[in-house]
Amino acid sequence: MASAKHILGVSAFYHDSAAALVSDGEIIAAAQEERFSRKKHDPRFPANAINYCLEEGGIEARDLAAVVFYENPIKTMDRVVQMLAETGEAGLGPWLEGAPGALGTKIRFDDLVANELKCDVPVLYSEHHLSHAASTYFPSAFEEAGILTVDGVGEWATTTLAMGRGREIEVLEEIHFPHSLGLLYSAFTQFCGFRVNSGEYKLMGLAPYGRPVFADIIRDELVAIKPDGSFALNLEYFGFLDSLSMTNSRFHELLGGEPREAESRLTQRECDLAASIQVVTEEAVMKLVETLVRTTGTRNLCMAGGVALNCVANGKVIREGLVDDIWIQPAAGDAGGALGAAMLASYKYFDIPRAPCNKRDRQNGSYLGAGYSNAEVKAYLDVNEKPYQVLENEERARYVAQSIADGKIVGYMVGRMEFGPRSLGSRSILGDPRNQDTQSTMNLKIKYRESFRPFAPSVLDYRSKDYFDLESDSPYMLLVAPVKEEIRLPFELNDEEDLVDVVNRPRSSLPAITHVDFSARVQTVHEDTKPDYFNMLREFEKITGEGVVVNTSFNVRGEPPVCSPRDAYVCFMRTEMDVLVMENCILEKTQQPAFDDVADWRGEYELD
Amino acid sequence: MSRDLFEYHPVLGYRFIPQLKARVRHEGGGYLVRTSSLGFRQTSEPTRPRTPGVQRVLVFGDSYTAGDGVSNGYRYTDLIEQQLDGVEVVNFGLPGSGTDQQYLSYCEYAKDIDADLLVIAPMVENIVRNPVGHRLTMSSTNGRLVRRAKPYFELSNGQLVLKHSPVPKAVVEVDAEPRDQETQPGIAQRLTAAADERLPGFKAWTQRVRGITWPVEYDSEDDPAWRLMREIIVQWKDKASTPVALCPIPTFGHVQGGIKADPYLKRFAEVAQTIDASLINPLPNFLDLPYAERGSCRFPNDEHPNEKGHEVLANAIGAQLRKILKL
Repeated sequence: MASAKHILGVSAFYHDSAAALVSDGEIIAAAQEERFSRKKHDPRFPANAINYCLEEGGIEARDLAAVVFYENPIKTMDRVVQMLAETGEAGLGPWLEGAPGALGTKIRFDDLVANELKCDVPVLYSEHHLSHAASTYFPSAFEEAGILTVDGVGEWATTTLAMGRGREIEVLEEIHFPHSLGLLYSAFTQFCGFRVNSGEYKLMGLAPYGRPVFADIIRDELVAIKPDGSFALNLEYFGFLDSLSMTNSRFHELLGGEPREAESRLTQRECDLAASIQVVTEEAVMKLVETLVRTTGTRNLCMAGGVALNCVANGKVIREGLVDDIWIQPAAGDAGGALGAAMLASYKYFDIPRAPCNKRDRQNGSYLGAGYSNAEVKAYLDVNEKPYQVLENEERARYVAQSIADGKIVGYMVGRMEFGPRSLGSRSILGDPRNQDTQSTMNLKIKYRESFRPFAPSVLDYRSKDYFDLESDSPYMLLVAPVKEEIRLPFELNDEEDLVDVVNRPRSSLPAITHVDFSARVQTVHEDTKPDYFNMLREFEKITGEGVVVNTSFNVRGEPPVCSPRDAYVCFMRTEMDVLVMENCILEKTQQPAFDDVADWRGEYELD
Repeated sequence: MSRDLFEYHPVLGYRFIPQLKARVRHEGGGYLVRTSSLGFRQTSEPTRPRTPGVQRVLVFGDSYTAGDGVSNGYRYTDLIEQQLDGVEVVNFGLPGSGTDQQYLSYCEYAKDIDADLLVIAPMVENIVRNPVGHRLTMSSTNGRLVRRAKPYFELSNGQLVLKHSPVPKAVVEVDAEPRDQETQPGIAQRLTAAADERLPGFKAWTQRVRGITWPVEYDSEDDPAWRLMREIIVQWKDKASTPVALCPIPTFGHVQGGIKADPYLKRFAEVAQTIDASLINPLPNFLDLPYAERGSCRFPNDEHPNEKGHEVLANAIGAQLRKILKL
């Protein structure tokens, strides 16, 4: 019998570096470097993530058939050099920022691999958007699908329309840099005082507070969107070609003033800007999807790239009936490129057959990261003399459900870590959605932030229609759906009111998860992919009658989600969580010894 | 950051976390660690009944035996098992351990295992670990220097008295101990090191010419450290229900550094004779290699044997086991 073809995919050097291992076309492991290095969005060579992938696969580095980098450094360099030539001296700033990555580290990728693994493994190179396309089409259950990838920029492409059939991906259309929907959205992210490449989801969360009063200005002046969804930016308003800022003074004048200072009070202007760019982004995405459906003739849609994390737009694509079925890569950003590159090499370079999928998808719930055994958890707790009790699975489910029903906040670390930015019940903080205080408690005492965004619900798959107008499954928390009319409460948005006060006013019988526009970012929980979490929710349903809990990522603000028992314990003790669950070990805060936290941890993590 | 590999153990001080599946980043490119339910890097469960017709050999030692830097399957114990038909080799290596912890490992986990031969394979430097109650090691989670308590014996009226039982739990981070003037390399040492860079083998030649031995605790049969180690081995043999082989594993100072091995070989030969044990000496297999090749048996910075070093050990020890087991 021939030995398995193990392919390691790597994405790195921009943001969210990651590694993924695919063996004979099957996804074995995938993880972001940030989870191990504890540096959010860590862009460095993902040595720890690679180590984890080989660990999970139990394979020697020399047994890898190939290591695949998710993009083509030569083409990226071509763009960087060409842009410098076009912009002249003005482009020196972006050049100096981009060149070390494009000309230095990326070009030396072969050396970095050889240095880390100390063996002679073939190194292959994919292309950025092809990796994104592969990351969404190949793990999906589709045998045929249209593929839309939209992000800031890869080598040249910023938007790609493609067709997936069997194990083939055919690129149909591309939109090239500098015309980029991702960069347009990031420009507004920065203008509204959030960090580029990490604050975009905040901008999306801000949109429901605003009115799209700037939408026409955006359409008229900043981006021309054609009926087929293709678009062109008016570069006179953007700074990313010739400065280190996404925007320039013309942009600021156009939108009525200077950018918001980070961390300063949010005003109605930012809310309206967020609402406006959201509307325009949705229009562009919808048109692109329509074009893709028309061109390919298929009503299955796969999406990836950073813009595919815009779950409001994704939800709209489904609700508007543009497609029959949609699958979005949970690690839609650059991290997912590692997985796509590995799968692409498996099918295209090594000719591995793509077996039919008899499950929801091939992503295994995205529980592809590191897990820790009970023995490992106990080893940590025992040597550090932390009190805990051990409960078997069923008992644990009941205990956690009862704790949540009692109003406690629970840190839940069970099973393999999620791949992608969303916590899906493996590294989650859980609370009671019925409780009016849950939202403010989780924000102020757990996350240490004052957020204008509500939390997301995890709902039993068979109960999701009781709470949400959602026709499809949403196992990866990538679709936003309206909360059912029946559970809504009377609510009016008042322009003058502080956003944090607004979000704390109840809008439904599940106040902690309902946004001001009566929407929710839903995770449907399925027994086949996450039985422990499903069973806990069922116990919660037995106790309360509700099959839904609040789920937010297990971290404090600015920190990557926890990975190891140590990370989880430290986060538990630094916050006012009441219960910590690590596999079958249960810890009560009241029983823990005083926590001697010498580190000034609030300064450890950069804010989004 | 790697996983934690070890857990606290009240008798041994620490052991590998049982049923562990880990990979450790390393200058050699990284290595896979698998542990059994007993908490040793064993590929199969040694508690299961012995297969009829298969002889079972239990091997005890430190990180050279456990295989730091090398994956399960590529260590000398694994290679011997592949070389010798009908032989199962069970690895009880405990990194950083002294002979005391290796003996206690046997008492805790192996004395009731049905076996044909017990191989006691201390790396010869282990003698200096025996008299002390702690070890400085690197934390596998953050790479910092930590002090871990260990069990140790004292020799009182010819009897071994176990100390640190149970072993204290605390793992204390310590600052690297600064070198004082006396331990700073002198001018002669620096000149030798510089010459060795240009003329590989120069340092070894000078050490051989000067008749340097190490560890010096083997120089005299009356040295307290040797008497302690000897007594541990004697008591171990008394407890064992199987034949015993002693296999002192040389350091790379002996393999490539020109340090004389005669003292330790003499001591182990004496005790082997006393307890009627076989003596296995893998050193000649290293010395048979051309000098330049000997250095390629270890990692450049980490002094543990690499896969090639384990091959040499396997060839040396395997050949002797073939005779002892009458294969």
